Amino acid sequence: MNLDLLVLVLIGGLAFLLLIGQWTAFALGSIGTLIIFLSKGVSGLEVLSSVIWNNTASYILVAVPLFLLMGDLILRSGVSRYFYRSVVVLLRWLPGGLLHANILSCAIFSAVSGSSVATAATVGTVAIPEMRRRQYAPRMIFGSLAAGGTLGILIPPSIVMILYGALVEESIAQLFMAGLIPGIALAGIFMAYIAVRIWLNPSLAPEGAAREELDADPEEEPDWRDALHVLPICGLLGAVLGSIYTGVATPTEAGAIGVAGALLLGIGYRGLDWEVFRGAVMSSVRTTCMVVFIIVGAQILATALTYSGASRAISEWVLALGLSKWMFFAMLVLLYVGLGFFVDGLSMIYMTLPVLLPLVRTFGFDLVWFGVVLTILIELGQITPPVGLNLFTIHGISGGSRFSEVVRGAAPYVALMLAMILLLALFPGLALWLPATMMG
Amino acid sequence: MHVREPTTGSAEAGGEGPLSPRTGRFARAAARLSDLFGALAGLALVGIVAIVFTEIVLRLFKQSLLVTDEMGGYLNAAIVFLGLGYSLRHGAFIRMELLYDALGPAAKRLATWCFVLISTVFSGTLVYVAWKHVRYAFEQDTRAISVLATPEWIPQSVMLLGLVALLVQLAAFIVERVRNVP
Repeated sequence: MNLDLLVLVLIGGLAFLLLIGQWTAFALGSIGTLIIFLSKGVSGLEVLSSVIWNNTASYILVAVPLFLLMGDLILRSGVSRYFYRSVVVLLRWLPGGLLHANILSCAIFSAVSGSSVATAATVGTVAIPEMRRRQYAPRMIFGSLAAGGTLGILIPPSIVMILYGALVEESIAQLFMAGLIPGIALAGIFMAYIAVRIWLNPSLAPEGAAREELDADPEEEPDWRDALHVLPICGLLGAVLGSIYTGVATPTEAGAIGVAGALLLGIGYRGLDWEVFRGAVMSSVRTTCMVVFIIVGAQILATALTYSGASRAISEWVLALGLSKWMFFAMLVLLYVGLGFFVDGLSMIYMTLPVLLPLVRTFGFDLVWFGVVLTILIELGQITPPVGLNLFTIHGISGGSRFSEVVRGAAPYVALMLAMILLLALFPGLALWLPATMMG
Repeated sequence: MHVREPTTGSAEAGGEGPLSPRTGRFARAAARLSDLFGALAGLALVGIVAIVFTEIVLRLFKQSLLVTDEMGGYLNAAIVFLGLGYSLRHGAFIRMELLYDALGPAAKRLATWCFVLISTVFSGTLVYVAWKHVRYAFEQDTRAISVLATPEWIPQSVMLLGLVALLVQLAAFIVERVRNVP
C-alpha cells in the first residue's frame, strides 16, 4: 500500500477516533493495528502479541503502580490539611504569604501524591475559603493553585517521566533527577512572579488590614508547632529521592519504600483503615491499567509506523523542509502548545511521540533533556482552555466563580512555563547537571 | 500527576458501577467478571508491594529473592490485563470529550456505537494474537531466561484471560445497546 495513503489513514483515522470520543489507548492501538494490517496483512498482526506482552511484563513499569499507590494512600490519609497549614505558618510573614504557600505546598504535595488534579482540589478546598476571607484577589488565588498543582509531574517521582522513560528507553532514575532542578526553578519563578505582582499592587493580597481582625481569634491562628507537619511529607519525599540519587534503590524499589512510608504516615495521622486501603489499591489498579494501556497503544502505533515505512517517510519529509535544529524545536513547542488546548497531556505525548521521536533523535536532542521539556509542555496543557484539567478542578471548587476568571488567573503562568522552556534551551545544564552527578 | 482524572463515585463506593435496573443478565455477569478480575488485579498490586519490599529488606542482609524482576514483571502484566475490563467499566480510561459532549443525543449515540464497535474489533484482534502466542509458547515449551525458567505460557495465559474479559465487557456494552458506556 502506498505511503501517502497510510499517512492519511494515520492522521485522518486518529483525528476521527479522538474526536468522536474514543478511549485514547484504544484509538492509538486500533489505528496501529489497521496500519499493520494494511501494509502486512493478517500475518503481520502476529507481532502485536509480543508488543503488548513486552510492554506490560516489564520490571521498569512496576514503578508505576507503586508510586500511584503511594500517592493514593497519602491523598486518602487526610495529611494534606496539616501539611498545607504548616506551609502557611512557615510562609505567612511574606507579602502575599498564602499565595506562596499555595505554590510551595502544591509543588511538594503533588510531587508526593502524584496527582496535579487531586492536589489542586485538596489544597484548594482549604485555601480558597481562607484566602477569600482575607480578601485576596480571586484571580491570584486560582492561578497559584492551578499552576502550583502542575509542578508535581516535573518534580520527581513522576509517573509521566516513568512512562516517557519506558517509551524512549532512557534511565528513569536520570529522568527523575533531571526534573528536580527545573521543577524547583519553576516553583521559584512562580513565587517571584507573585512577589512582583504584589509589590506593584499590594491590594491583590490585603493581608495587613484583614490580619488585625483575624488575629483577635486565637483559635483560628496556627502556632509554630503546626509547622512541624511539613516534616513527614518532606521526609518521605527525601527518602524516596535520596534512595534513587545515591543508587541505594532503583526507582521501582523507591516506589515500594514510598508505599511503606505512606502506610506509616496514614497510621500516624489515623487516616488508614481497611476501606481507605482497599480504595487506594483499587484506584491505583484503575490508573495503572489506563496509563499502561496508553503505552501499549502507543507502542502498537510506533511498531506499525516502523513496519510500514511511514515513520521514515514522515522523517524524510520533515528533513526535506531544511529546518535548523532550533526551528524544528520551536515548531514542536508550538505544536504541543496547540494540541494542549484540546487534548490531555498524556494522550498528546503518546499519539505524537511514535512519529516525532525518530526526528528528535535525528536532530540530536538529548532525550533526557527532551523529556523535561515535554513534561513542562504537558503541565502547560493542563492550564490552557478549553480543555485544562486543573482549570476544571479549580473552577469546580471556586464557589461559583466564572470559568474565565480561573483561565485569566492561570494565563500568566503559561507564559512563565514557556520562559522556563527557553531557559532550558539556553542552559541545558539545568536539567542535565544533577543526573550527571548521580552515584551508582 | 495529571493522568488521574477525578474518580467516579460509583467506582469509589466499590458498588455496582453504571448498571441500571434495566440491565440484562449477560451484562450483569460481565460486570461481575470484570469486578472479580479487578479484585485479582488488586491482589497482584499487593503482591508487588510485598515482593519488592522483601527484596529491599533482604538486600540489607546481602541476600536476594533472585526472582523479583521476573515476578514483578508478571504481576505488573496481571494488574494491567486483569484490570482492563474493570477499569473500562468504571470509566477509568481517558478520552477526549470536547466534541463528544457537544453532540446531540442521536449523534452521541452514533459516535458511541462507532467507538465501541471499533474497540471490540481491536480487542478481538488482540485476543486472537494472544491466543496464538500462548498456544505457541505451550506447544514449544518456551521458557523464561531466569532462575525459575518459568514456562512462558503460564504468565501469558493471564494476558489472554484479561483480554477475553475485556472483550466480554465490550460485548456487554453492545448487548445493552451502548446505554451504559461510561
